[in-house]
Amino acid sequence: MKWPRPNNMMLQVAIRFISLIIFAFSIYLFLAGHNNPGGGFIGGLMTASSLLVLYLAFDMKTIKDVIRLNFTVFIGIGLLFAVGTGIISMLFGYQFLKHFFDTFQLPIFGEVELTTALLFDLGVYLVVVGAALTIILNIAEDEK
Amino acid sequence: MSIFHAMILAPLIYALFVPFFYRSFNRRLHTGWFVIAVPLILFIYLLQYIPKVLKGNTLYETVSWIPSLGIDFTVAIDGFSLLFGLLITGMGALVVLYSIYYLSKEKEEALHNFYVYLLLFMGAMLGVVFSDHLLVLYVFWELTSIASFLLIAYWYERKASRKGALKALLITVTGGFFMLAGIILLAMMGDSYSIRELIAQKSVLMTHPYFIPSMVLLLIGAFTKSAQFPFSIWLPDAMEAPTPVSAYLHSATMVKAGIYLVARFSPLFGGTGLWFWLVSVVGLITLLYGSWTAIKQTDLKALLAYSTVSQLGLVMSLLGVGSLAFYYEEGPLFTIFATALFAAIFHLFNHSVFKGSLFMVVGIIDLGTGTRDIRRISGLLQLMPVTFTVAVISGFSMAGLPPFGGFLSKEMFFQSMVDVSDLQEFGLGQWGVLFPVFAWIASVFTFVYSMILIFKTFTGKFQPQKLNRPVHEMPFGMLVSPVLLAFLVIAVFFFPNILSKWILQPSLYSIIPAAKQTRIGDIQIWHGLTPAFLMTVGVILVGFTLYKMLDKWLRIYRVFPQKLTLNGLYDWSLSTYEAQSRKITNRYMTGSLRHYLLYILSFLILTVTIALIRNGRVQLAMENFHAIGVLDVVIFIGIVLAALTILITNNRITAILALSVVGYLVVMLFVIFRAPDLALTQMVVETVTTVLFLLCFYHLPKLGKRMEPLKFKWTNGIIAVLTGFLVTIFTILAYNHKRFMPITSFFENSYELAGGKNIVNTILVDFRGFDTMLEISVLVIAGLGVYSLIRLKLRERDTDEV
Amino acid sequence: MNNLVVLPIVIPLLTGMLLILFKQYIQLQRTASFLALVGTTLVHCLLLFEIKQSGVQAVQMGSWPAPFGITLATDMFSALLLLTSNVVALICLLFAFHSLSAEIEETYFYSLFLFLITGVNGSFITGDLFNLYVFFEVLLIASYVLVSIGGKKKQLREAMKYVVINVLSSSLFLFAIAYLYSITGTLNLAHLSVRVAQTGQDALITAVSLLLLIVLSIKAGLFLFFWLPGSYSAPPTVIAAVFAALLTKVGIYGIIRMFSLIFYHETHVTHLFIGILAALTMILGGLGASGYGDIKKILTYNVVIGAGFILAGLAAFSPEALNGSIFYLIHDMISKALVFLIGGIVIHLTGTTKLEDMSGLIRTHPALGWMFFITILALAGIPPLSGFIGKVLVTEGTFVSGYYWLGAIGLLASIMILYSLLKIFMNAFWGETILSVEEEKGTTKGLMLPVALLTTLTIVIGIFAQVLVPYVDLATYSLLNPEVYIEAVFSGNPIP
Repeated sequence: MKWPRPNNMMLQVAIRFISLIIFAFSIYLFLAGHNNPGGGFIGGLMTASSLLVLYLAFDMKTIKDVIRLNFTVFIGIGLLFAVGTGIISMLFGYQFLKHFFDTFQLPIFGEVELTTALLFDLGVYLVVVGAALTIILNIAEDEK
Repeated sequence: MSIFHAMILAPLIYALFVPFFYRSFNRRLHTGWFVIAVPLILFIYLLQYIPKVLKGNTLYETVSWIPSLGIDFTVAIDGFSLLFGLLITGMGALVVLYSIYYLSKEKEEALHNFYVYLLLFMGAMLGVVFSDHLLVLYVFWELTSIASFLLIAYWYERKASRKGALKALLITVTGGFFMLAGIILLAMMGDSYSIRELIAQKSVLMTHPYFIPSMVLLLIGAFTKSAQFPFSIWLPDAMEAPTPVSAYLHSATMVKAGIYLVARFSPLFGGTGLWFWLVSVVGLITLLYGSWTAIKQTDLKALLAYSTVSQLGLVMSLLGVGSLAFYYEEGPLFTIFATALFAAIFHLFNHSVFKGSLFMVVGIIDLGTGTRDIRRISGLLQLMPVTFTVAVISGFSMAGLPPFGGFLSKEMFFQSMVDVSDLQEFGLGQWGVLFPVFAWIASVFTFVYSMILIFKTFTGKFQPQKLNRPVHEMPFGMLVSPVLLAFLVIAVFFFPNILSKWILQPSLYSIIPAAKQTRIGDIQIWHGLTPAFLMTVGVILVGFTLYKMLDKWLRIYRVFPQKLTLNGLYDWSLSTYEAQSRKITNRYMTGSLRHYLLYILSFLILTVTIALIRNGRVQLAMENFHAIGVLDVVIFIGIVLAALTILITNNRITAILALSVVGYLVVMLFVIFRAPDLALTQMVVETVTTVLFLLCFYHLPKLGKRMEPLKFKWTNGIIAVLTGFLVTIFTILAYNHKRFMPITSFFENSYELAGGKNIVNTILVDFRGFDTMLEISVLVIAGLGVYSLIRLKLRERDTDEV
Repeated sequence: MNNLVVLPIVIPLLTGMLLILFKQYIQLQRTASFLALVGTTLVHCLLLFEIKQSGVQAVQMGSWPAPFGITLATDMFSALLLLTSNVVALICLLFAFHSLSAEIEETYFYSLFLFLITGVNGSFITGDLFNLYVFFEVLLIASYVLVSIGGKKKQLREAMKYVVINVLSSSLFLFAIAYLYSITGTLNLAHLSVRVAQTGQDALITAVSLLLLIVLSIKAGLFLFFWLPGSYSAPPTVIAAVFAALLTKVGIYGIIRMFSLIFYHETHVTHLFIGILAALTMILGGLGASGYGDIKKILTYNVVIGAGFILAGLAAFSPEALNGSIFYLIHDMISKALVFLIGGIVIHLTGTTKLEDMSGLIRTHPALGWMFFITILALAGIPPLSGFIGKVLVTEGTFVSGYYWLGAIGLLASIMILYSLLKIFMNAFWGETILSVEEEKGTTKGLMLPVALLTTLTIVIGIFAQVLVPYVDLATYSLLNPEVYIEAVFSGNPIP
């Protein structure tokens, strides 16, 4: 398939930079989700687009060599997180998907609220990243 | 589980073992020898019940089947069902014996199937006659149809067999469904499925509005099964079955199931005008039609088939006339009509005997000469003396001649028809005279075809050149059954009252107990010069003349149109049904997605519009709405323009971009309405999908000029606009129709409840985390889908994949 | 609270996910998916007994009290469907082992299959309208992939229509949910029932219910079945069989649930309408089945007739009729799967779908032929097989409710079923044998066991219907008495 394949150094440098920013922003969105706009779904999609930008700017193969990640595994792990939090609460005798939260006094961070919902959201995040990239990369690679 | 239940189920269970016998022993011993034990033992077993039901009493045995639904397998033995039981098992034994010689164990490759079906039938038929519970009766009733279907198509390679089988099944099962509807109505009226309990409630049921419908529905079931006009057409085609089957199912037993049912229900429905008219008139028409049509047949089995149709009609008409006995209840008229009932039972018995033996005779001729065509067979007298003797005895009995059993019941038949003609009630009036007239004419025809059957085949000059093989008498074993039946035919004439006392009278009493007080059923051979006797004499004289002059008048049949027959009608309606079904279905199932969407949306528009109009005045109150600002209007216009661009453009990239413009403008709306999470999500999703679209774009062909006719576009446009309009109206209505506080207020405490300030997020991961879990699964499945679609492209092998 | 209720969803979902990670290990995939379905089947048996003992089982997801969280609730009706559908799926899985090519098996077939079951089970279990929508999406998206798996031209063409029509219906579903939420302010089915009963089912609510009916009708193949014959004849046999047995049933379940739990106040409008649609469906389906000489077409139109017949029982809305519908629903799942599997084998053996090109298979495959014959009788409702009791009860129910025409059309449809299927039997199995075993295009190796199992089920269910009656009675009871369901969902908590 004809990826738009510009051999433009400037663009590639810029894209690297942009990608990093988007990536960082996506992580923020994910973490902030519980109290501010954001969350696993948006975070995941953002992360996916940050990687997508890289694929757009560079050759498919180059990126593949650099980022040796199998995104299908992301999906599996993510789903395990999401379903796992549900099952664990069930194993403790609560209803499926019962979440718990509490505030903890941590060094450096100070008072932090930790919640099992974040684990669930992490699952969502991973799945979204994995699935979005699987879909897009598969379509992109289909050169037949 | 009583012995009696076991007896009914025994043939069915035994059938399971037949293939085993066949596989293990058939080379040495004909499988039939293993089977014959079943009817024989059952016959002997049933004999012991004769004294037990002699006084018209009934024995019951009940086993629960589905007690919660009130379905019990209740076996009821009374004189009438016992008569049938004896016929079924007795004829069954003789037919199996006969079949052992008829079906060669070497030539037939699926002999076990034959006996499996036969046993299946035997069990089913016993079930029909001994069941008191109507649903159970229906179960067995359908089972007989199926067994008959399988037996007719025993030689399934033959097209005619298949066609005949299908016809028989379609007609009888359809009739069965009518009957089922009737049964359900009956059960609804009387709150019981038990025949006897229903009969006990007769006086109440008679005034029920379901009384007539259930009667008609039941009769349709009975008429189809007993091959009454115009449902009779399946019976001649059923002759494709091996001859033992014709002798057994299609003359002696199964076709009498309808008769059985009518007789069984006579106590309930009898005495009403409609029942009388329906049963007797249909019977008479069938009688006349069958006998008239039988004469022109050239195939011996077809002749016998039509003769069976006509004889069944005779019995039916007797049941119709006899049903009046339930109206009079006592007195001379009661005696007259109860005698008609007796005649029906008597003739039913006689018919089974002589017709069974005649079928066997025809089977012997068929096997001996290789043909059943009357035009090719003649002068078999010297070659097959025993067969001839049997044919004469049974044939004369059928024609109603003395000294054979058929004479007696035929006389009684005439007498009943004469009696009914005197009656003025039930709107009979002058019409009553038609009963004896019809009966007499039909009997003349019966006489003629009986003569054809006997004399065309056995007398005259033997013409071996017309046959393909040397002809000889059949082996002893094959003759046993017909000879025994022929003896019975004579015995019945000379000792009718033995039969009457032990079998026929108990049968009558179980249908109409009041008959016990009378002397009905004392059969006299000589009554004096009664009208009935004179009619018989007339039949013989006219019949003989007609037979002699057959060549002269047979061409009358040609006057009747050849195409316009009931069979033609059946074939025509079946093929038309099929062709029209295809045509109708093809008309709307075009395979075009556009059409399907149009149907669905039009249906939606129609339904919802009507539903909303029912709502009454459509109030589009806007006061609850958010004030519309300038920005809203701009965004709205933008969305409309972008959407129109998608429709109009010929360039895919433009279309994709326009689509994403719509998406981003919606993002703007979310921003305006202060829904940052939605806006953010929508934006990212929009971006990713646009990229995805652009990627796919490379795979798609150029968007050419759309060559749809203008008319298409107009229809599409109208439907689209209407749908949009309707959805808008509906939305406004629903918005203005808030009846309750929404549950959302609960979520506003999200921080205390779930430890999160962002309500949207807490809903997503906590309150409704379950939805989210599944939504990401959807995403995963979509991912897998894309992967599998792209990776797995099987070669075009449309058929060799399971 | 009873977490058992979650397991029918979690077990297949989790197994399906794990199997994504073991793409290449076919044997493992087979074993795991088999065990997963055995597991769910056992769970359903347990559920069945618990419900019989102690009534409707409900659990609140995340322990948020109803109606705020998502409630899962199984009454006897859903438990019966769960059990039947999983047994059928399990047997079809056995068929898949021997019938699918390794390529398909390696392309996440088992994961997709399990996700499909997740969607089906979830739809039967959920007590929340939006969650129902989500489960529909799960099963639909899995079905989109399964319809097109293999990527043959015909499949893609039919998949396209299937997807577009279902996307349309999904969006209509969302509209309906939104309207209903706007009016009642809740999504919980039990709560909806309470609130609709409180405010009275006025014309607008009825209009929403009809919109919902249209959505579910598309899924159920009730009247709006145009997509069905094409897309059910495209995929490999085992997938078509599962679709025929389960997918339309989910739509039917939805209709029955909605119109017994929530929208039961205006039966003279809604249920009559359903009855009319059911009648039209039976007639059109019957015509379609009778008109063609192509096995796949005949079978797919038979699916349509079945949907009409089951919903005729709902239309009558009496205890007898609902009993009949449930009996028939159970029967239909089993025998539709069966008839599709046998049809698939016949096509496999002869290499054609055209009846005129096949003949005399009974000589070489007597067992297959007779099992098919039994299936035909079962489908036509001929006693004493599985279809009989359902047919009698539905017919009786329609008569009791005064819908004589509906009962009559139901019986007429039985004749059409009989005729259309006998055509297959007489053409494919009877007649001169034209193919010797060596000339056949495929074998029946390994395929007969699942077919035999299903055939046994149709016979056993017919003859030993008594065993089922108490359960079916309970199911009908909970359908006709919404308060039973509502009580279990709110379990004594105040209803806002």
